[in-house]
Formats: sequence, C-alpha cells, structure tokens
Amino acid sequence: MRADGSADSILVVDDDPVNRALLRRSLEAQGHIVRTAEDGARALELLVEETGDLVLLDIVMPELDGVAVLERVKADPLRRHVPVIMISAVDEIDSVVRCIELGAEDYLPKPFDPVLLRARINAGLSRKRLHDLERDRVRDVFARFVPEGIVDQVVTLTGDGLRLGGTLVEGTILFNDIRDFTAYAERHPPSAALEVLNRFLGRMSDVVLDHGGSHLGFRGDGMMAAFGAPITMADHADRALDAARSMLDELPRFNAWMREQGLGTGFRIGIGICSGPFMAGNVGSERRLEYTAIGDTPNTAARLEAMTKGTPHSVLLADSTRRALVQPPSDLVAFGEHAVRGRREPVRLWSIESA
Amino acid sequence: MGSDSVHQTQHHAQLALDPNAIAALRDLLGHDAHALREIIDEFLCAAPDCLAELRSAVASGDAEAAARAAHTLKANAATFGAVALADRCRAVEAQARSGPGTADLAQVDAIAAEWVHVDAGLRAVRPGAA
Repeated sequence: MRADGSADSILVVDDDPVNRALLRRSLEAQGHIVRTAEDGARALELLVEETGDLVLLDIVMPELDGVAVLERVKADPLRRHVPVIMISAVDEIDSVVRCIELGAEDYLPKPFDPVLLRARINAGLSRKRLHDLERDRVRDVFARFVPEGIVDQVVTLTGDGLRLGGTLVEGTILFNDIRDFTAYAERHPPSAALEVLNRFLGRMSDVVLDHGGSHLGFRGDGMMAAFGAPITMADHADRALDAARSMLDELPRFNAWMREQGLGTGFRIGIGICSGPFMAGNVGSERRLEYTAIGDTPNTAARLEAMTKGTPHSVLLADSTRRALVQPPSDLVAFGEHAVRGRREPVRLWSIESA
Repeated sequence: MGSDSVHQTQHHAQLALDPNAIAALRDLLGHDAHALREIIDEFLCAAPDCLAELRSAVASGDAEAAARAAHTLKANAATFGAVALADRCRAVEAQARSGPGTADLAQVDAIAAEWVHVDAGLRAVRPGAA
C-alpha cells in the first residue's frame, strides 16, 4: 500500500506470456495494481505514462533487453528512484551482478519462490514508500520559500540529492528590513509588534515570490531573498530591482493599514542588493534544514542594507547588480564609491532616483 | 493402446511434474483455481509453438533462435516443475549458445516426447471450469 492508502502499481516486463500471466495473477492476488509489457520498448512507454511504484524486469528479451531498459530508467531523473527487480534464470548470475551495479534493487530467480517473491516485492515497495515520504517532506520544506511552480522542478532536478549541501550559482541577493523596529517594539506591546512584523514580512515575502525570487528566511525584522537560485535565471538582477520597487510601492499601503489599526504611524525600510556568485543550498541538520545563500555576495547585500540608514536612500545596490542588469533602467543614480565592512576594495554603489 | 501403456502414460504424467512446484504455484496465485487454470492454459497454448520454433531453428542451423526457444521452454518447464523437460531444454540451449550446428534433431525429438508427458500432467492438475 502507498502512504495515502492506495494500491501500489507494479509494472511487469517479460516477453514470455506464461511468466507475464503468472506474475500478474500472483501480484494481483497480493492486492497490487499490475501493468504488463511484452518488450522493453513498451515498458518504457508505460513508464512515461505512469511511473508506478516498482518494476519487475526480465533480463533476457529480444530487441531492447532488461539491461538496456534498466540503463534508461536509471538515467532518467524522473524515474530513477523507482525500484527495479530483475527476473532471471539461475544461470544468468553474471547479468544479475551487472544489473545490481547499474542500480537494480534486487533480483528474483526463476522459477519463482512464493515467499521470496513476496519478501523482495515488499522490500522494494517499502523503499519506494520511504523515498516518496522523504520527497514530500523536502517539497513541504521547499514550498515555504520558493515559488510554487519551481518546487516540482527543483525536487525533480535534484532528486535524491536534495539534502544537505549546495551549489555555486550566479544570482542576486536582496536584504530588506524595517528601520528602527527595536524602538517601535519598546513602545508597543509584544502582541502588536508581532502582528505588525508578521504582516510586513508576509507582504514582502509575497513580493519576492511574485518576482520569481526565493525567500531565504527572516532575519530579525527583515528578510533575505535570492534571485537566480535554485533555478538559474538570466534576468536575476532585473527581477531583484523590480522586487525592490514593488516593496517600496507596498510600503505606503502597509503604513496606512498600521494607522487604521491604531498600531503606529508607519515605518521606513532599507533594501540592499548585490549580485555575483554565492553558494545556495540546504544548511543545518538532517532534521532541520534551511535553504539559504552563503558567500561574499549575501554578506555585501546585508551590509548595503545596513548602510542605507546613514543615507537619504532606501535602496542601495552594488555595481555588480547594475552590470548584471539585462535591461538597465534610466533612473539609477550613482552614489559613489564606499568602503564596505568585510571588503578590502571600495564598492561602487547605486540607488534609484525616487528612493 | 493396451491397459499397460495407458498406465504407463499416467505414471509418466505424474512423474513429469514435481508436486512441490505445483504447490508453490498454487501459493503464488493465492490459491485461486481460476488463475491456475489460466496459467496452465497459457503454457499449453505456448509450448507447441515454442517446440515448432525450436525444431525449425535446429533444422535450419539457426543457433540463436534455437537457444531462444529452448530458453523459453526451459523457463516455463521449470515453473511447472517439469524437471526432465527443463533439463533437456537446458542442454539444448547450452549447446546452441556454444555455436551453430551443435544441437541435433534427435534432442528435439526427445524434448517433444517429454512434452507429451508434461502435457498430460498439466491437464491432470488443471482445475475444471468453475
């Protein structure tokens, strides 16, 4: 049975009609849904239609044999997690070894022993179930900070590798936070501060996702977002800049809401943007994962956000972001070269005319 | 046919199939008589074609086709516990794989003769129409 209680779907691939009928009847008697293919080509067609939970694959078949089918299944990122159990005669042990090396889960010798058949099928199905549970968990974790449409793409691309670890990507990092939130929190009851913060972060998070960015987590009264990770995009800098504009557009609406609710007069925000290489991936422990970005690029973006406090600008972007823009806008204004903490060379900074 | 030879045929038919293999099949099929009948019918239907293929492949010296036909028949025979038939087929398959022109028609005749016993044995264990 699957995790959701539905019957497991098993694909039987065998050119011999007697074996096909035998396995179909036997597996149906155990409560499984069974599909059969009489050759390798048909098996691959059926796998594309529906991946299923397990494949029983005969080694010796004319045309596309079991080894060739196995190789294709294991080379397919969408299907390589499906357990494949090879069916073999006792005198085919060399082929069996090769299949196990190629990623087959196990093998079943012919003629079938009822106890062995049930044990190996159940072991294969258990492993598939564990894989599905793990994938669903990863999907849940991911769905919180990546636009919905990208979740499946990421889960598929990374497959079993979606655990700890990261990849080096080229993208843009955006930090934003509320100015003087600490002072606000001192003057208001904790419940009010929490309500305001949740609404603010919720709105800003939506803006990030709406622009195709990934929400990488909350930092106190602000947040970090990435554009160009986990999915590479050529216009990561443009998207980040557009997101910053949308955040500034959103702010008056947010402040109006605060006044209506009697929660205060409103906030100002700071935004720092930097482009370049960074490591994006899952950091933490197996039980508590966080998808985040690490490197000089996110560090600089955080510093630029902090630097907006001493300037008339709400937004500061590094020259690396301006250079990465696919369609540079006409309202960027130079803000000179500045020393940025943690960097030896001064950084050329830019802002937006109206911000 | 004298009563002795009828007896002999029944005796051969009983010997042709290993009862343990038939018991394992029943277990595999969840003791579903209808399913057992279906599987036996599949074999009764497929085996004569397979034998014919084997004969023509051996006659024409097509070692690859001979090995394939012998392989299929061997596997099916083993499934039903037709040990003697499986052994004969295994020998032909091994010979055919070792090179062309090595398996001869006398071996195919022996397989066909054994099949007669297996056929009778299968019909004896085949559950009647429900």
